[in-house]
Amino acid sequence: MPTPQVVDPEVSRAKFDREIAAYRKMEATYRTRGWLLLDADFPEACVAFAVPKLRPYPIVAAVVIDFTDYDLRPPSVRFVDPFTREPLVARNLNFSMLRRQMPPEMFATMLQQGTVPVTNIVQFSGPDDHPFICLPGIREYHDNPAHTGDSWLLHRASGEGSLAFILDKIWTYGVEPLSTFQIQVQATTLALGASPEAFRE
Amino acid sequence: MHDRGNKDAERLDRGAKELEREAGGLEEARRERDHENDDGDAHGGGDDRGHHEPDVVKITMVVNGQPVTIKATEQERLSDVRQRALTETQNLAQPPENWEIKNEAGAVLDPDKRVGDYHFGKEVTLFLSLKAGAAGADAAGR
Repeated sequence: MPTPQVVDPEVSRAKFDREIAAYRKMEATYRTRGWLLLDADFPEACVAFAVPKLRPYPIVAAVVIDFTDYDLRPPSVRFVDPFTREPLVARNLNFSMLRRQMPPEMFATMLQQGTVPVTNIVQFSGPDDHPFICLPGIREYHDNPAHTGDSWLLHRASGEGSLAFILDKIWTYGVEPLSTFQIQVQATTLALGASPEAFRE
Repeated sequence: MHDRGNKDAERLDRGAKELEREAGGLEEARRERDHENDDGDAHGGGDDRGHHEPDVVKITMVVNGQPVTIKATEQERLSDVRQRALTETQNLAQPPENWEIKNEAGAVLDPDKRVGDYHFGKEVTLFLSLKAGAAGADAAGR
């Protein structure tokens, strides 16, 4: 649901334009990573993420980043269908941003023991909920009741919440680790087929 | 007597011409050598070592999306290059350790290594990306 702009729109627009101009400067490099800027029209930019190292190339996620009230408030990020821009609910997302919360040595030990201790940065309450990225610098994180003590204003000058920061994190935790397709085939029923002409009286 | 004087003059004349030819050959050889050196420089093969300058790598450091060009020597540590890039782009709100140095493919580079250790060549693009904050906390209470 779009929120009304309370900051002078020219201020937010100038900052939005600055973010997009910085992106355009590095766009060729970003494209090699599979980042595709589909459109950028204040206050929203839509970016899709493909995986260049897989064949055929899948588009694994697309986000609309909303810079309304930027940067009094951080940008909002929502996952969308890359073709229709319809917001996705959790059951249709098929995308996660997994993060290990320990040093590599400890992680390797736990991996050997058969456990993969990772947390998903993409959060949601139920399958019909709109998933959000639980990360400082993103509006949904700071608006969440669990993070009222971690105000955006404490992060605003840090570099978090920029377009490059948000895209880098989605890529680092969600896209770049992908290396193979996993296909599950499960036969639930087995039936024999026959032509009706073959049936006898 | 007069004839002998003429012969001496002719001999000296021939000697002078021979010396002139040798001098011309030497001059041509020098020009060729200079030309080769110029070509080498023009194609990037002639290094600065001939001029007693250290090897310099032009690093385009993309700091949180903003590119800045830093000229670093191969002896310089990546952490020092990072500090210069952060200072130049005024990204001083976070300690340098919170910025990861990555290459174009996204691999994290060791800030304690020197520029020369990575064999970047004359130019390279690196990325400084801010480490993710305390994310992943179960906001949904699960």
